[in-house]
Amino acid sequence: MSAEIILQRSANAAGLAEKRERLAAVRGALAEREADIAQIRSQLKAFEGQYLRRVGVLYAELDEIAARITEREVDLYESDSARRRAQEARERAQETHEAAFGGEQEPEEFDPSPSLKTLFREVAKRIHPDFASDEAEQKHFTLLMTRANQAYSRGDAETLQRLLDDHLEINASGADEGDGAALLRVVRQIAHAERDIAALDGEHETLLGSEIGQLYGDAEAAAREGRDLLDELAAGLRERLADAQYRLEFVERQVSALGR
Amino acid sequence: MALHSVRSSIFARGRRDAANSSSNADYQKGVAEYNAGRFAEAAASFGRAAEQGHAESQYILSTMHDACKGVARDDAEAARWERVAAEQGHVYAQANLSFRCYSAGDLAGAFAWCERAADGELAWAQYNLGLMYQKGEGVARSEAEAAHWYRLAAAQGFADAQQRLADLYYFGRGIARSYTQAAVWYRRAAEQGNARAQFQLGHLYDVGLGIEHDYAQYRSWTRKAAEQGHEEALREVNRRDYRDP
Repeated sequence: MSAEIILQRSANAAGLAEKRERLAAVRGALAEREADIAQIRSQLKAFEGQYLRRVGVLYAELDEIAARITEREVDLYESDSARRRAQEARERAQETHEAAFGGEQEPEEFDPSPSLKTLFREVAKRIHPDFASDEAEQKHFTLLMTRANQAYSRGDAETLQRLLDDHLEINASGADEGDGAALLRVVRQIAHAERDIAALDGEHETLLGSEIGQLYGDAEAAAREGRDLLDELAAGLRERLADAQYRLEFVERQVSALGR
Repeated sequence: MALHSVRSSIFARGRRDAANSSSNADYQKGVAEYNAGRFAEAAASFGRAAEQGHAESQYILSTMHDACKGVARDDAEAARWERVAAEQGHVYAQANLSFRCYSAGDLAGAFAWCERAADGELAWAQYNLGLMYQKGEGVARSEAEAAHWYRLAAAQGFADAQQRLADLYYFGRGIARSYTQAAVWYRRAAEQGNARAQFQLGHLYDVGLGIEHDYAQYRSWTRKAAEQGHEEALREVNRRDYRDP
């Protein structure tokens, strides 16, 4: 009888050890994914800033001149289509200006709601690295804590709630756990980590598939050929600007020749 | 967020312009092959660039299909690449597509594409948009709008538009009648060899409208128009009092 119990235990223990190894591997992969995504995000952010400073401002300038040309054309010769054209060009110029310069505004002051504060405290007291039972858990808690801090600072209650739910689900079996309960706990932890990896993979795809992501990809491909894509775009735009400037002066000369 | 979508469109614009850069290797290869008269190879190179979204290559490829240069004549392919390039904002493709719609009897489509090409500063399209407004094709007839578009094309030196604008001034259609302005624009068109403008300018010299009467100028411009086969000018030249003042 007792032999059977011992056999049962050791099978459970072996399964648990295997699952713990699997958990460590999955969590390792998750941490790598998080670092990758963080790097891509900051690369795209930096590239976005460069693009707006070197290219976006030229688009804004080009659209501004185009708007002025159409407005001068209304002065030159009144008609409904001239006025409509001028209005559309002006709206476009404003949009482009906003897109090119809008990012320089100061970020809004961080003012979390009381409920978000409470939620964050609930999460933090459960996953604080100081309360981890061993080194592996401490490492994982550090990662979760970083995620919770980021979610809190962008007011993301959904992520905070998920962190809390995950923790509650894992520990649902209570403090006094045998190997069976421990196994269940690890299985849940593996499932959470795999779910998070899938979510990060989705975000990765979304980031690289976005307009800025694809433009970044194009710029990287050009750089491998020794070309600077942003320089090329800026040079092309400067030519178009010179052309637009010439047309504006031409229309202005016509307006003053007509004495309007 | 609104800023997000505007941002996204300024990024998309950069991507489009980057894709259409003249540094596209297949495009450059195509241009070199085309200039060397190797049209089949050029068509293949332009085809590769066209697939990459290079609007100029798409446009050239469509004209090559139209003219069976290096490829078999293929209206469907020509129309397909023309539309892709037009949708990317290629003004010549827009103008050609407008003409293709017009030939197929789709006046609304012809007008819409012509308007986009005209917005892109293409004089030919501005002139044709003026014509469509004047005739009421694909749009409600409006001589005031016609005058606006003729003026834009005329300012770019498009002779037919200068002559049409002068006509509107001469008859006071869509704009206030002004013989002075009519004379100004007829002269610019006449100097570029527009026969109707030459005849009309001669007529204004003959009767002294908008310009000082000048018999020598009248004869000179009328003769130029007649030499080009302008019928009224020919009748005028054959009139007895013209030969023996």
